[in-house]
Amino acid sequence: MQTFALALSLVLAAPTPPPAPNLTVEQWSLPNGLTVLLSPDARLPVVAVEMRYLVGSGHEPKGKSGFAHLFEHLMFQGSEHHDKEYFAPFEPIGGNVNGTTNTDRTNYYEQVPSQYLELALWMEADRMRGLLPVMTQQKLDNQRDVVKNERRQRYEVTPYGEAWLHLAENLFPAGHPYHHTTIGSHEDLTAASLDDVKGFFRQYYVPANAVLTISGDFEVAETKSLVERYFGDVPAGQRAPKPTAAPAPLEKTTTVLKTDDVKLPRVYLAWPSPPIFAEGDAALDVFSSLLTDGKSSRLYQPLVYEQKIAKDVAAFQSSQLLSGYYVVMATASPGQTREALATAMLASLRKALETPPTDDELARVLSGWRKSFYGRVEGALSRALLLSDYYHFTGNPNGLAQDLARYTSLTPAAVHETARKTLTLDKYVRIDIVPEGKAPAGGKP
Amino acid sequence: MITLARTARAVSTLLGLVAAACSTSDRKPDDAPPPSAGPTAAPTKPGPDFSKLPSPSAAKTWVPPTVETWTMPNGVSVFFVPQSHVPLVSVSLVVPGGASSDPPGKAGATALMADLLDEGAAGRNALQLGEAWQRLGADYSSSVSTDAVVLSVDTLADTFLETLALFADVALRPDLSSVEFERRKAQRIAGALAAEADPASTRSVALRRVLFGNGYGAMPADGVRDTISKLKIEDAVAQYRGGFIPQGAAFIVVGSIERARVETELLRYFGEWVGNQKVSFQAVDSTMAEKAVYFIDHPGASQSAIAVAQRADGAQASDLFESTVYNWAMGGAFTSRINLKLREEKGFTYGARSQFTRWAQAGFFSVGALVKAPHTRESIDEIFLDLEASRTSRPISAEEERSAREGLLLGFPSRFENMGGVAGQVAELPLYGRPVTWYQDWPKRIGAVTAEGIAKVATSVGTSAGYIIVVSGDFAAVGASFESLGVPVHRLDAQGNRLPVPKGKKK
Repeated sequence: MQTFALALSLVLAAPTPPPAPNLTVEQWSLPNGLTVLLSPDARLPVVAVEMRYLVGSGHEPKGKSGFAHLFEHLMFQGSEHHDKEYFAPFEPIGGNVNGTTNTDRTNYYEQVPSQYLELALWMEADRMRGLLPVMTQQKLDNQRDVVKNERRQRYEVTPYGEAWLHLAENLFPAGHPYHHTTIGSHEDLTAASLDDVKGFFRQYYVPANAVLTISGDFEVAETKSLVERYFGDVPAGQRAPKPTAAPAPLEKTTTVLKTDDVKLPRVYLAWPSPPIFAEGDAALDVFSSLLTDGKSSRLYQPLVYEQKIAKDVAAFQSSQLLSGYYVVMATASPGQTREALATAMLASLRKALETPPTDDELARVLSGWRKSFYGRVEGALSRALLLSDYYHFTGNPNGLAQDLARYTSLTPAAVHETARKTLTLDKYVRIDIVPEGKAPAGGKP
Repeated sequence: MITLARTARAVSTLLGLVAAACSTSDRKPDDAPPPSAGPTAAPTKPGPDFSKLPSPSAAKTWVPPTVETWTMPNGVSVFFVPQSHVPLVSVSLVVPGGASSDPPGKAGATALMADLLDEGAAGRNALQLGEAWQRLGADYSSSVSTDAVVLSVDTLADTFLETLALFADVALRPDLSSVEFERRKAQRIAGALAAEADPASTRSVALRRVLFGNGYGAMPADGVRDTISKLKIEDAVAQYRGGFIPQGAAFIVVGSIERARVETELLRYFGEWVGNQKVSFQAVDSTMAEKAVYFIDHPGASQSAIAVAQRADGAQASDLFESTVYNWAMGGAFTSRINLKLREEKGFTYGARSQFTRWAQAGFFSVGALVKAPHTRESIDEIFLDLEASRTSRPISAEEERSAREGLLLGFPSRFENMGGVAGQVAELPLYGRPVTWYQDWPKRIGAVTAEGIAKVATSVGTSAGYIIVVSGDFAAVGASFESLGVPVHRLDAQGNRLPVPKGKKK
């Protein structure tokens, strides 16, 4: 239709309602199964490349927790024709390069000046084709140390960081792919071997299990030719099956009490919830806004603004492939106990679940969700990640309008019903993190 | 979604540049595939050449967006950048002074004042204001730094007018009620208390307090628990009446809107804004910190948050560009010397970085990391070895210099992708008195950096002599390792206050 992926400027003159962002994408694939998503937009001379492998910590068997993420680190340690730091050729061109791992996928990205698109493809291709010939025990040992430090930094030293580990263990039963967190345990990380690295690479790091997304300033025809050249002759491999998980509804309330080096008690209430893009996923996002966005929201106003029993309160739906989870969390004000806080949280939550949102409440929070979609399409990398999420989780990369409609079409009754169904007040997981020792909160450190 | 990201590349100072022309492509234009290349297309193209990294194609010329500027009759300057890629508008009001106008002993007064602005104004209470922002699709926020109070609102272009009216209510007609003051004060005390358990946070607080003594820049803008606890509503009111004034203030407007409308509506809603300065500003404390280890105890911490730091010039530094290049090579980039050493060679940390922090009146250079506790002392030794080497045995090489400069230049356009990024950069122009062509001129300035200039930076920071060392970690486990360092070890509490030396213990 038009050259630019974003056609927003065409509709600026329209007064109300605000126009929906438009994000065009072409889906294409190589004979070896590599899925390619192309979304050109020449506003700035930058291009973003994401290579997503459809493997995450959810694929890890027992005893291998944290391996998908450790493996991600190894992908930056050199490949057959570039056996040195992955970042080295990108930093002198101002590239934004990184990788991330979650329960469902591992991704790698480069945002570079558009004249360097081929470099990004060369580098991604070389590590997809030739990671193992240059893999060494020393690289594994070094990155194992780095990852253990990442675990310490994010989960051990950061106040309340360990709560995420307890949530996963208690929300999902043993054997469920999400029972362990992406960071894994020190013990399992220690046990990871070079053989594990080789087996994992051969099974999962193959074109049929990968999605290459390119967004930004590039020529489609020329780029297709480059993609064919660099990836066309890589052996296909197979698409990894989705890990399986039987539905695991909570059977009872579980309460976990942990001490940590924190100053104030914090209480987490959590439930399993619908998977990403499934029925109810967007309704829970909106319900989170009703609960804690703005001072007159249904939890903030009673807990923080009026009773002042909590210093802060937050609620969110964590959207994932096999199952989501929903969390309400609050930190006690100085002098308040975890029990008093939990009681107040449950009472306010009960009240919030009693009545559907008013039309005004819903309209208010939806205007924020509607606006948030513009922010998601501003940057080339952000657009690439959005498109590959749509492909990965819905099968259709052209998902922006549909995604927005999930929110704008919600009714008060639908939000209310989903919330009542998910946030069961007779069955939940409760994690309390409290200060060590018996020093009164607010006392001398 | 819980996502584990590797340490993101961090750049400490504002950078900029036209995408420099690089060598042209060696790709042939007739390489294009057939238009309908699909699963059945035969692979007739040449295979990949992995013998060397590919050359770039021709670079496009790009210049940063032009900043339009004018002055309102009441002296408020306006910086405007039209952007039409999304139907949003971002408005920021930058009022200079910030935390540096906090009276002695009252750190956090300005920050608490800024909190209060949207807790009731012009006939709406705090709850009603919150709902009004939501209805407009507007995100309002305030932030206070050492040098400024910044009020910002991002909104839909369609609701610009209503949003600006509400913004003016909050900025010019706040209730400043004592009830809301006490509520926000209690929240801030709780926040400060919670942060005292976080080693990364206690390290940052201690670092500023030790480096800057009793003057400008010493206290975090939010204050610490002790200072917030002593604040009274009168303090917040005084900061508002005497500090939140049009002289020196600036609007930053970025987005999908016409200049004429911005001019008209700012005049309509802010044209009557008047006020006289009645706050005074902190001066830089000339007493230099004692070279020592400053230790904040976090019993049981599996990592130590470490930093070494020394003072540097503020935003007007004459070596701004040279130091930016030096920092990139030493600890600003992922492939910088210090990160490669501590992370990729030693495996002591998830990431180590250096940076120049440049405020209006003063600044500092620091290197920091969270390191595995048993390697705390060794990590600090390694940092000093790298710093020393940059001055003596291993100056920044021509290759490092080129890499840093090109990286800074070529990465520039990406900094202008989002309206928020544009607004944040433009806000630095009035704050630091920079010319409106600052970003257009940036390439020339970075291009003029010489090896001699970088060596001068290395001479000033590449020595362990002037540094303080801050460690937030388990004192029982790692404290003794510093006894052999030959400098005093001082204990601080989690707010950065010096603790008395325990009786019977050597200092």
